[in-house]
Amino acid sequence: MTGRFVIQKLFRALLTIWIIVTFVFIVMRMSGDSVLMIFGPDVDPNAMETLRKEWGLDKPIWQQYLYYIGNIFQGDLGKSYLDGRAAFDVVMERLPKTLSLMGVTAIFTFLIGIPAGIFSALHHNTRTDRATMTLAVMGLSIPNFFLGVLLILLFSVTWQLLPSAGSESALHFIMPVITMATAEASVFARFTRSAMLEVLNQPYIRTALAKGVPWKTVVREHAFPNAAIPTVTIAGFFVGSLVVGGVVTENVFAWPGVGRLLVSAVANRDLAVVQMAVFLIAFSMVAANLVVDFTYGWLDPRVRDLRAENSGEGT
Amino acid sequence: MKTKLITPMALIGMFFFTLLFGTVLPTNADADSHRDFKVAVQKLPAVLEPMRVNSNVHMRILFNVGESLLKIDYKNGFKIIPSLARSWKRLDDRTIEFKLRKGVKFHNGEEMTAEDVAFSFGEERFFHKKRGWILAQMYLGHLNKPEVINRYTVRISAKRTDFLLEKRMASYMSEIISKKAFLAAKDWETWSRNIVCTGPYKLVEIKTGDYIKLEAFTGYWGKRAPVDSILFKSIPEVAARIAGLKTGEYHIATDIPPDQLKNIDSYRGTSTVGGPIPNIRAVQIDTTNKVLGNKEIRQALAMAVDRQLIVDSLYYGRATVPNGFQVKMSGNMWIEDFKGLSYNPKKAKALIRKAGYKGELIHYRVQPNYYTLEVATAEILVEMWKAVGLNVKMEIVDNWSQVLKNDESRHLVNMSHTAFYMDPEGLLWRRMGPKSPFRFPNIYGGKEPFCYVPAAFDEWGQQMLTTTSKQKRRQAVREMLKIVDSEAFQISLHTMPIFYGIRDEVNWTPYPSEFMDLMAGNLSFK
Repeated sequence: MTGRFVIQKLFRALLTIWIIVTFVFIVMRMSGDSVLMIFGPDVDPNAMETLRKEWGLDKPIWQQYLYYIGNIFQGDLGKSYLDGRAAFDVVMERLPKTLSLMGVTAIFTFLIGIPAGIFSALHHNTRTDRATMTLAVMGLSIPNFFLGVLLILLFSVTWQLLPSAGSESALHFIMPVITMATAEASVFARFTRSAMLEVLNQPYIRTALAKGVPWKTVVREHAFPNAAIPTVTIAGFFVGSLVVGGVVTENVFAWPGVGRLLVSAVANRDLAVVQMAVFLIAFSMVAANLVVDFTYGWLDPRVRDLRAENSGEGT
Repeated sequence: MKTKLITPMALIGMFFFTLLFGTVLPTNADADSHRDFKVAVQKLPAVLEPMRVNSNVHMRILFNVGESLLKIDYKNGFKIIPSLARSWKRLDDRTIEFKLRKGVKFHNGEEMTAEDVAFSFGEERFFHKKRGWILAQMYLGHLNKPEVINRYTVRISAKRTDFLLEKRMASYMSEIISKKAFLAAKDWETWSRNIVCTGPYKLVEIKTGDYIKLEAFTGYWGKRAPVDSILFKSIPEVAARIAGLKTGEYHIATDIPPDQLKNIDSYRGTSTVGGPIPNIRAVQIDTTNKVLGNKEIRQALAMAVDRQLIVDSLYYGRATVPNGFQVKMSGNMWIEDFKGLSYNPKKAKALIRKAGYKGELIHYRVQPNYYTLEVATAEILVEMWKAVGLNVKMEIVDNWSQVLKNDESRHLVNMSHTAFYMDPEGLLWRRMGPKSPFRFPNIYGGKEPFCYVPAAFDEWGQQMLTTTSKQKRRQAVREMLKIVDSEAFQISLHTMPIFYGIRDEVNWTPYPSEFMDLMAGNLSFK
């Protein structure tokens, strides 16, 4: 990994975040008046004018944008119109809940998806393989909101086993995690299976087996590490997919995380909070992909050599 | 080829599962203890300072925390009764002298005095142009600064004759706050999230968008609160709110849509309560375009609506058809024999013919259920209008800016009107008078207002505002109602109901108001 490669990647990452934040800034301001969205049409016209001035919404968008950028450089990311607190604090207050939900979902996604993919590949073209893949396709096809409401109906209303919404105890994790991990694990199962099948057909696997290496060792030490490379690639998308899934799931289960905050902030045009939440989400997705980029070179010597060649430092 | 690779993975999975979920269950046991009362709400306010918000979700909670000098007795004909003031006397048509109750404590333990009353309506809060004034001016903008007579006596006066001054002092935004606590707060925003009042419950915590927690105030001057704490929990998804009610996680679930009433009523252990509040769902007409500039077309639109059918089919008869733009809770200002424009398709057709309408397209902007059953109601309306020959097209838009945007396709929009103070002044005058947003040019773009209202409406309105005679006031209200019907710049549809799901073990009666009274006398357990 060369210095130039790293700088190039970091520059692109920053550019991506800047484009996203700018795009959201413009779209949010053009698509609705925050004063009307927060207070509705039942507010006095004088109050509307005062609030627009107070919040700087009476100025042209380009001027608002310049103020926004200028304030960012001074460490001011704006205030929530709804409760007057710093947008940074409002979003950060929600972050632990989202991270805990994403973290547990990620653990279960990996624990279910990857073994299922390997299992399926090792039983290629059997009933087990087909059953596993059918389940994976089903898991992928069920929309989050539908699965969430279905789980509430079954586990909360019918059997009264689990709390319907909230985040107070470990039990509250179960349904949101199932809702999110079902689709995610399905993706990982399919990718892992394909990658494993490709690797298992490689000559070096046959060579290892011919040399008398036990099957379990071949799978563990030769097949799986090589199959992991494409799986790492989708881990970058996985973060994005978790964020998107989280927005829906958090709303269905009243999970007080960033996703739910984002939905209500967009609905209310609480602009600074939307900007902050989008910045955070964009940052996490870009950072995840950056890590994948760097990890990829480290995992696969061929990629590393190719990058070195392209940057003129290779042999 | 078989492998046992899955076994260690399964073991790891079981380990994490046990680690994460091996705690003692279940959490819904809380509902067994009535001491901690839980309410699932669709939405929460971000702050509790009444002059910092203006919303029904705020009113729902606020009155349990903050009290005014007077209060409305919802169970006894909406009479005005003493609250923080033990008595009051009208000095003239614009001034009231209040004698305060002694020994009333704020949640911080300080005694409430006339200084706190004056401060609540004073320079640093209400009259401050960047604080209370912004939103409270439309309710209290004509008041003078209060005059402190002695520690327990205060005078509040208006700049003009104010028939409703007592009602204002018993309603939203007139809550008395602690001067000392206000001045000790870091700033307006911090104060807004940490208000200190005198109510039976004190604010413990606002977790924005998640919950608001109240706790019984042991130093309360009146009857002690019936529960130790109340948690208002935000559950935006209606299915989750109903599920939580059925499982007993919540004692009450708010904002139940009419199509779910049967579902809750038929479930063992739950039922529904609630009904109309002083709010009228309406269709606002932009009268500045060519087609709807013709008042015969507007009247035809109003007469084509079978309101009873909407109430019966969508609300199962649990809403009501209003007599024009007035609410029954107005007491002696309710003009019972005024019926408003009623369903008359024959007359509607005749008016359309007379107007020379040639099928010009009328646009109808609708949001996806900002109001209860908004889309379903709009679909029914479009069919009713079609039945009399009006070509109305429903257009779904995303938000209020798009609904109100002043361009050539702004014709019909949905609206609702709350009768503040349960009085015509709070509905007719506030929503249709000269300070109504619909009569201001420019505020939604363009150059023209939503509608032009005849000068006679404002003249009768002035009589309503300035007279102290009930008869003259009633006469003014009647004439204003007639003008609204004759000009038809608004079409009334039905009163807006609020429904709650409630556990059978809870005795609680909702008022015809957004306010949820969870105090002694209105909340108990079987």
